[in-house]
Amino acid sequence: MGRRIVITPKVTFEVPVEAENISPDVFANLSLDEIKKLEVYEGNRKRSLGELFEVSEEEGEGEVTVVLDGGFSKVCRVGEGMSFGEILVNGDLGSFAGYKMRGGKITVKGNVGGWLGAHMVKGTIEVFGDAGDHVGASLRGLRKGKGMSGGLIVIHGNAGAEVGAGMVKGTIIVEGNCGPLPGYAMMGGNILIKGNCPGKAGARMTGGKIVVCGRIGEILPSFYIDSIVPSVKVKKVKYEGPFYLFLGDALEDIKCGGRLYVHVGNNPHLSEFKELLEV
Amino acid sequence: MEIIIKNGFVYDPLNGVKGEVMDIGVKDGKIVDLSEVDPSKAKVIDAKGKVVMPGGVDMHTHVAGPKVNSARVMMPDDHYNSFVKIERGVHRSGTGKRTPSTFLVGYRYARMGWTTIAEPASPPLKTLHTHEELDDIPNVDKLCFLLLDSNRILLEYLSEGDLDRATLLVKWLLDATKCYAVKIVDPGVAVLWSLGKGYGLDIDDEILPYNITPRDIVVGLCKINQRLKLPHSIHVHCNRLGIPGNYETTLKTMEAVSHLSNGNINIHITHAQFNSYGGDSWFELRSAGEEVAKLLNRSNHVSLDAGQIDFGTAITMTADAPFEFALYHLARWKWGGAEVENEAAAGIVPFKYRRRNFVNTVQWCIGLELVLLAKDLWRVVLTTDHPNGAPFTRYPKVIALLMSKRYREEMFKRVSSKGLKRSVLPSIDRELDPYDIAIITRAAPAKLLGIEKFKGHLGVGADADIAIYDLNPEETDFSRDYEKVKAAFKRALYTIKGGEIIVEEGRVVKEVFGSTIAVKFSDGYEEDFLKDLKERFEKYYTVSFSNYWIPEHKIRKLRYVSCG
Repeated sequence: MGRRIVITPKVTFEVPVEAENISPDVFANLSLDEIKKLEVYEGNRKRSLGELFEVSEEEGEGEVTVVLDGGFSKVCRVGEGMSFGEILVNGDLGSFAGYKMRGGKITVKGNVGGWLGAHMVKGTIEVFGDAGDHVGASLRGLRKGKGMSGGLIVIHGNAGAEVGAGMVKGTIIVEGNCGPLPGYAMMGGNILIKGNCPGKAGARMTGGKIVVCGRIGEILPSFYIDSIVPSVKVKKVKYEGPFYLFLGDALEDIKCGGRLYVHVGNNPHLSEFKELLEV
Repeated sequence: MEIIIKNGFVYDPLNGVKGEVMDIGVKDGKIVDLSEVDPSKAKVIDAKGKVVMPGGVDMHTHVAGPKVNSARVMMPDDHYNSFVKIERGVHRSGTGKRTPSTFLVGYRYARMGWTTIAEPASPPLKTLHTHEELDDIPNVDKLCFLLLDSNRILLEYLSEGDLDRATLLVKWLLDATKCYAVKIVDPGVAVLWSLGKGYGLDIDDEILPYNITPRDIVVGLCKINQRLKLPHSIHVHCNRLGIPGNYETTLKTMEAVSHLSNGNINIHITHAQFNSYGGDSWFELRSAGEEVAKLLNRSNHVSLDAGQIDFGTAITMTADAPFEFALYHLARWKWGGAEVENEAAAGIVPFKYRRRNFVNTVQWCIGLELVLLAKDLWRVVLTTDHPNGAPFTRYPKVIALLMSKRYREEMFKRVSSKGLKRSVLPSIDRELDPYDIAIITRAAPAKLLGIEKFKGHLGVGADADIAIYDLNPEETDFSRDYEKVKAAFKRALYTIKGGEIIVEEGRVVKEVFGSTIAVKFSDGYEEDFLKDLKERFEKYYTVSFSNYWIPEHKIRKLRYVSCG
């Protein structure tokens, strides 16, 4: 039988709490007392998990399930490097959730902070609220292609800027709107945005696929129009169009390996591209 | 504080001490005769079976200034995984491996036993900033070189042929900025870069707006340097750096000033490794370290520093913007340009040296060749041109490579064999001993910089900058135990700076602030010159003439070396 570990904060946090130890990988071989002694940082103060949180254990299904109840909006780095099990968050979650995640599942019923699933390798993250900036992105300053390299992130709400920056593989699905620069410097993988996007999609991209089903602000001038396609497939699910297909980013790579699909019907201001194709 | 260091194997090349067992006395921050130290009060360090050397002198390391700061901004990835925690009452926190924050620079140098460093390129207008940063580097003494090759007013004077006025201008600039020596970076290229040109400028090409050539700048500044009797010769980064076949330009630059020498060293070729490439293209690149070393051995007016690379990520930053722009197109990662507005033109490009890459292997060989082929080690200095070739924390590795042929052979197995065939390093058997290492890391740089009176030796009257390494020269076979050598130089057993123990057993235990060394001239300026200078100054600068001068109180501790 599996374990189900329930964690509840004792107080409302005013400063960020760095809790990379909240992860099924760490909890798996520890008893409840040992879990309570794990180290977390509240601001710059070193604390133990038991000092800041109520931790209880019950029998459950599956391998290890960690349930986070209550105000976790300031708790960062939950599930860092996790490779199995499940984290279920009944509320909000802070930034860097699922950083360098290698497997398992994180489900968040509320909103999450920035850098969700940054450098993710494998696994699934599902968010029912909104997500912050840099979903599945690579940290600042790194070489291209150091971002998300596998797995699936589904956000049922809106997402912030730079969704999937520097990603190489994997899929990000945003059911709401997203901020500017989705797929910045991406080299592979899929990004599906069902809502609107302010623009600059796919800047510096050299590979991969971005699909914008809603309205997009503008297309970068370094993208070429290729054709109009009737539908597009992401993760074996067909989305009916028609879609403009743009290739780019020409400034980054003359081979123009990146593909940007933009819905025709929702973007009447892009009709000039239609005229270009007819010539 | 009084200290007695007992029974160490002392290596002090400036005084000709070669591994003799001696005692050293320290009192009031100076090295004194043992009779002056009171043994009952003094702290006694037992250095039996240890190596005692003067504190290291690094004459070329980019640790402060506007472009270093730009690199820190550009490299967040260098900082977020390298956090050093504060130790209350001992040292402060910091981040960074290749561009460490100022405090870490001081701690890391001290940990290796280095106590004097020189920031080699500061554009005059931003030198106040450089001094502010140098002031925040603890545990070392600092020098700052002034970038002069692209000062518009100087170029005007040189093109008019007015060497007297040019001399006065250089003197005024050094005086105003509290710097130590004249640095020339790819002469003339900054002017051309502001017009969008300048890549591959050779020594005899014309710098169009001024009708002079880089040769005129080098010769002119060399003459000025001699007239002013500056303690250090001109510090030259040659034209065509990093371009295959550039060794010819390097040789030409060396020979350009040979007629001016009267037996003294009058030109220092810096990071010579980047200037010793043979072949016509990157595919035909070969090492020309032999040619450069030959000219060094034949002449007596040239000194050089190695600029050795080490494999791994480095950040190239130099006031040679067109080259950096070209390098960016090879590296395809990040590029930063800066300082075009202040009498220079710098570029910053992070670059990864790869072991299996044949070009990088050739580069790696050249630096070692230059040191190993030099007959007179007093004119060769060990540097990695931090952070261009490698961070300065790789010195222990380079020292071990120089001391052990076995280690080099071990490395040959791991680098590109094609690269090895293009260099003569595999055929060199020479192995340096600790005395030679003490020359190339301590005595020679101190002597070349002209601070040998108080730095780089352990004679009576010198500053008490001492490094003690856990290495027994009688028991250790340096060739075989290269790992031991590496470990010993990585963490000094003790480092003493100005008579204070700052490192114990490889850990920083104290933070002291050293002084900034600058040149001082005895005489003033004529009204006539100042009037002319002011007129020209107002033509070029957005700051006012009176704001340009850095007042003495802006610098934490100034130490003047008088010249002239």
